[in-house]
Amino acid sequence: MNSDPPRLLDDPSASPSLRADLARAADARLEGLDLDAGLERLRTATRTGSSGPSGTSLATKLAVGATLAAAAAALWIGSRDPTPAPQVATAPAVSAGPSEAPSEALEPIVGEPLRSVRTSSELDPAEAIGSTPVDGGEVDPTSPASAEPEDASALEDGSEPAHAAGAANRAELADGSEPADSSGSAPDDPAPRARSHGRAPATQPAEPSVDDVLREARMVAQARASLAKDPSRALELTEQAEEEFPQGQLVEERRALAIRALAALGRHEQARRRADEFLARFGRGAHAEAVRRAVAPEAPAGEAPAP
Amino acid sequence: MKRVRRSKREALTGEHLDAEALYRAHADFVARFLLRLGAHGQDVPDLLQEVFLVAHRRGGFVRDRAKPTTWLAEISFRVFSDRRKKSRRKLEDADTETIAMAPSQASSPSERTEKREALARVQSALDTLTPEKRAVFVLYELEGESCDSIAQGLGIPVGTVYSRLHSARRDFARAHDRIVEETRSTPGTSREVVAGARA
Repeated sequence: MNSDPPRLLDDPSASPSLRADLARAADARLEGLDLDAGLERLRTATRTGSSGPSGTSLATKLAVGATLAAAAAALWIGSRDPTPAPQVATAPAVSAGPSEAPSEALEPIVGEPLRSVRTSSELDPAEAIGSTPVDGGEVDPTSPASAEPEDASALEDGSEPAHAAGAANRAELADGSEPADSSGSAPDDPAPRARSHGRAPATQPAEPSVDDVLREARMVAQARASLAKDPSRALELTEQAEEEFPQGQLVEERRALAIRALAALGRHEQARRRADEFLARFGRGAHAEAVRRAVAPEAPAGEAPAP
Repeated sequence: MKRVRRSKREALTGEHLDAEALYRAHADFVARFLLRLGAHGQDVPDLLQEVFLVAHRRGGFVRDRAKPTTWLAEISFRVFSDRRKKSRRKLEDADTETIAMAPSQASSPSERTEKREALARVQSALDTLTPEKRAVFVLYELEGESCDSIAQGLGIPVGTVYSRLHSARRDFARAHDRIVEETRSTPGTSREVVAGARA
């Protein structure tokens, strides 16, 4: 570290205009990123439990592969561990499936199949910057399986607050069995495994089909995209989603969008009424702040479209 | 805001960071990095998701690996180069949110314009580097990471970091000189230069 050269920015031998430009670039800030919405999307993606039209995709093959590998591992390990192959099989399925959903959902908007990105960015080491990364737990379920049991608790602790602030669509899952999936990164995570065991049969029938999840996500994404330019379209989409997916995965987000759209359309009375309901239920969620801002008496001009 | 601050503290003390904690602490960093690598602003929200989903599938960040930032930088680099390879952008959808780098506070409109142009010049110069060199250059020169941490994060020997940095600096300085010259002779083109470089 000591041998690091001085940064160009601080290097008196570099040209002054170069240094000045670099200083400005280093100082620049990010504009236009909706971190809250991104976080919510990430949460949804990491916890939706179904496996998708991707069913035939690599994700599934990985899950199957993981199952086989785990079964083999179980044979090796013998009977020491009473929570064998099925757990490992559950975990990758859980973590792989949802990630497909939002990616697919956004295709119409972005127009690019993220799915393929995902798989190869994980599986194509040739693309690495010449690295030998510690890659995908899903590909090699055996090594993590034995490695870091204490991570399980760390993982859960870390994600607990997120749940508290989480979305309504998870309310029904708040029986304590869900954190397994949601924090659920690691297939190597013993605690979630044990729990997802008991959970699967109970919740599976209630789970929406992947098509529904995708369509809902798509609708909400479109609503979000049109909020600024065409709030009435945004409102229409959220209402359509409300009708089609009363038990949807993105209730919180779409309702927040609806409120913001109403506010943007100048329908303040309605917006406020819905906001009260919304905040009572999701007052600590990722969208609460945006909703409060939208219905604040001195609503900032940015929320409403120019008349 | 509060949440962000808290998770930054967690980031310093925790042994393990799951995808959400990583996101809260480093989404900004990743978005900046993606933009500077050359990602289009409209693609950033999706790329960002992709990066943290990969982080999630890898089981989150564990303390013995590099730093969370450079670890995420490696994932970002992969996700970005992969996307770039696999797909060709469709026509831009004007409705999609666009992420961009914006100048820090400026006291006057003219200062703001000048700062914007500086950012555009830097981005144009970055765009001339190979992706590998660009990644190292951005992490070292703009994000202030150490060569060690870049080496660990990207999984390459520190000697490679030095050599990439060295030649990246040379390329960057040349490109920057050229851009300054060009924009001096035809003022107001720096933005077009950027647009051209990204097209």
